[in-house]
Amino acid sequence: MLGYIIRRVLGMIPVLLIIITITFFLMRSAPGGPFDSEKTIPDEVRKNIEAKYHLDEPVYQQYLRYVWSIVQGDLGPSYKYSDRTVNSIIGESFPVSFQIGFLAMFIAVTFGTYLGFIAALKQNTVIDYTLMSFAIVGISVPNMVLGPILAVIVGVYLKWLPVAGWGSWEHYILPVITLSCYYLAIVARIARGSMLEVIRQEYIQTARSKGLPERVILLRHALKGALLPIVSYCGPASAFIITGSIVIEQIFSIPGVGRYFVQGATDRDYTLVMGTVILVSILVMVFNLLVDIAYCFLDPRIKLHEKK
Amino acid sequence: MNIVQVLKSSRIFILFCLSVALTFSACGKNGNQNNTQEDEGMVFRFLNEQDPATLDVNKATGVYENRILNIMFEGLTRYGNEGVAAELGNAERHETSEDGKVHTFFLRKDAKWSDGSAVTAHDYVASYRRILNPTTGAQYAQMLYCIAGAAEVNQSKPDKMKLELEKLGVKALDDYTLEFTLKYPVPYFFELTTHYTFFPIPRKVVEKHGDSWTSKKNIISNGAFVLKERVLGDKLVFEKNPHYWQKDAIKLDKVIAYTTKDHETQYRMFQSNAVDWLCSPVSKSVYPKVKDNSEWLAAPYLGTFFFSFNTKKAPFNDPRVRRALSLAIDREVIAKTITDAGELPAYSYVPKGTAMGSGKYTPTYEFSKNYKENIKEAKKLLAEAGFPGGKGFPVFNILYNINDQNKRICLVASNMWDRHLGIKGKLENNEWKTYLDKLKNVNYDIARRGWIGDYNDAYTFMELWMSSNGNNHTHWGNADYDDKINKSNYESDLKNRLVLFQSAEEILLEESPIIPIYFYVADQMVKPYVRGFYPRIQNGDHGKADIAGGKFNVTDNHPFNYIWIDQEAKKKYMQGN
Repeated sequence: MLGYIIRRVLGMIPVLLIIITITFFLMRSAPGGPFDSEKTIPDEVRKNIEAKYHLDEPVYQQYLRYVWSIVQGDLGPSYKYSDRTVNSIIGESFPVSFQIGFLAMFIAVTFGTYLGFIAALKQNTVIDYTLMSFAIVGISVPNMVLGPILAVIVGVYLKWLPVAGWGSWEHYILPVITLSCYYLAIVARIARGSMLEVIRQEYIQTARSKGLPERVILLRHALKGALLPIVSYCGPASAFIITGSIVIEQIFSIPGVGRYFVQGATDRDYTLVMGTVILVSILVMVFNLLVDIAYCFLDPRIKLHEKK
Repeated sequence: MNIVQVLKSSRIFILFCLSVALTFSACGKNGNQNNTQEDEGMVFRFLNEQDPATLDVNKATGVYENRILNIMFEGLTRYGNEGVAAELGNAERHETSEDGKVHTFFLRKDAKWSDGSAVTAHDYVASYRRILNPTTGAQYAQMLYCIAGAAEVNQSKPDKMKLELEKLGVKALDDYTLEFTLKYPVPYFFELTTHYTFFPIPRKVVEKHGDSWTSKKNIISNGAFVLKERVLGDKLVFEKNPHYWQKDAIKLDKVIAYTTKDHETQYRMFQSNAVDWLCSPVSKSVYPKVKDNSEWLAAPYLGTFFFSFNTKKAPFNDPRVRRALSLAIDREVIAKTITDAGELPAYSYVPKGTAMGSGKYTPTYEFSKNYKENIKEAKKLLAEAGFPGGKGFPVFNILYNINDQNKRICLVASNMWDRHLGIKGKLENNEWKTYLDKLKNVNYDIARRGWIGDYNDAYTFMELWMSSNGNNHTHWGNADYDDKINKSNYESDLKNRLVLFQSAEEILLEESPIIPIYFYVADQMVKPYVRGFYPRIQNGDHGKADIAGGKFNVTDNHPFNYIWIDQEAKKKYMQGN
């Protein structure tokens, strides 16, 4: 197991390097630069600034310099936020996104699985139809609609919760609900589908014919198998959800990392964009690894060291 | 199937969920920050719209930085409570030499940094030396180029810089006397020193910490407030500076600047009383709701929205064509139906209300307001240029940056040109940096643009169209125009200076490298219990007042030194809402 994990982690390095390389050159090929603004700066001043950030060097040299600084764990200075480094920006904003994302994912997975299973066990009844109709609504109503509606009703009219901002426990509630809705609905649908499939499997019927109580059959035998598709969905989804949702952060004014994906690119803040891309890449790879490890526990047929 | 059993077994699991949720909620650092303002004294909360990119006065560039830096720092001069005229700030006296080239500022001896140390003339000199130092990479260094030797320092090679610095026209005659020697008499120099590029830096702190002097634990400032908290993407919190020389006149105890970017969210925050001032324009989707609201106000702003031509490219190299296109625009329609926040149609270029010393700029030449006549003349001009009825006129591009309002203005303009002149324009939408890149390289036919004055003097608008100006972006140049603007720098007589500008503007409108469309307004929302805010709103003489006339806060500066909250009125307001 440990050997497998080490091998996988080592395998991430070349993937990361490819991602860094592609992003680096794509960023530089976009028109305009980090210091272009509506009020043009004199060429001499521009030269000064470019020299300060080594942007006057040939691109390949900048690339090597950048890769070397990453190896040392330094993501570089932000061009837009000139008194901050990318490390400090991500260090400050990622925990915020992580908290919101983790809570949302946790709610989505637990309640989604639970509701999905109930729908499956009560297949084709009113409960099933009601739950699945809600799931369809959850999937179809986008964040950018649900968020403002919640903010207006709960924040502006009822004045129960703050409409936006960060700092107290109250600030978590609306964004987490908004963010989790979509994922909860998806997980519920996956859970229902996979549970329906599992309870028709022969090993469940065997368990039933042995006269095991329904509770034992469901929790000990069916649950494990039914969780597999949910786990494989949640891996990559978690990576994206905890690196921040641009929409949620905008609507609720949350100081998370999500906003820098878009803002960094529009500002041509090369280092900030690189930093966020590296962050997401690492998380996606780590979560995929976690999914594979979870598989091994959930499905006895899968052995990590048997590489096919 | 026993659903009850399933539910029972999941009870533990639900309890677990709740406990995790509670644990996480405990992570919220500062506890509830709402509704505790009464304990914190007088708090003013506003939306700055964006994070300041930096708190370094030598490196800052934009309007978001301007607002924040003015809370924390004070320059030699500052804007008065009406936001229009400059008054003495950190300096208590100012003298100008007869030729207007030497300005001497005498600093207050009671002016202190927030650590209690004195603000001296050396702090100013250090600031100017740092902003002009090529290795600082200051984007706004050119604001100081009117100082003798400043450009030379900023453009010097590292080995020559020391030599150039010795020739720099800023000197600390003693601890409290600062002398500027200018390249030419700059009639608006006093106003110019309100700009943050002229602010001092705490020399010793900067020497000790270098570029990280602006970090929360290092920074000290000399303005009415000091930084207490800075959360990127969320807010900046300021508290009253106990060492500020005028601390007894400051009524606010605390200022919170939220950096919420989304306009809809901003409006919801205002609606839910989470902020007292929404200083950026409300989103167009909520605009109809607030237009008649007494909390919404709009005032003329120092800025012009215009189209510019690539004057090297045929057929726009012909002034007659450019003028024809300019005349064919119904500015009234655009200002009334598209922008609709009280913007004035621009029949000339320099915004109304722009200062000229103690007076105001008035144009001597304006396009006619008779649209029918204008169209007739436009058709005639286009025919003279060889395109009768628009025949043979190539399809041209109209460059703009992604923004709903820009798009609609460009659409309406192209429709007017098509309908009245029979010529076709194609809209070309670009994201911001790509748009800037095309603008910079004059890689367009017609472009949507705007210009906001850096300081309250017509020069900030006039210098833009000099052939040497880096922001011209049209290829247009006129020796006569350049000459007049250059002369204005040496003209200390206000009347003569005005005449120079007026005649230069005539050349500009005659040659039409640009099509002025409207003058911007600054619209914002302010709670009725906010006092000391200009235009004042407690008297009800705000917002819908006739913004074409009267005295207005054209710079949209709202000094926090003068703002306060009427707690009684606020209480009443909160109860009513």
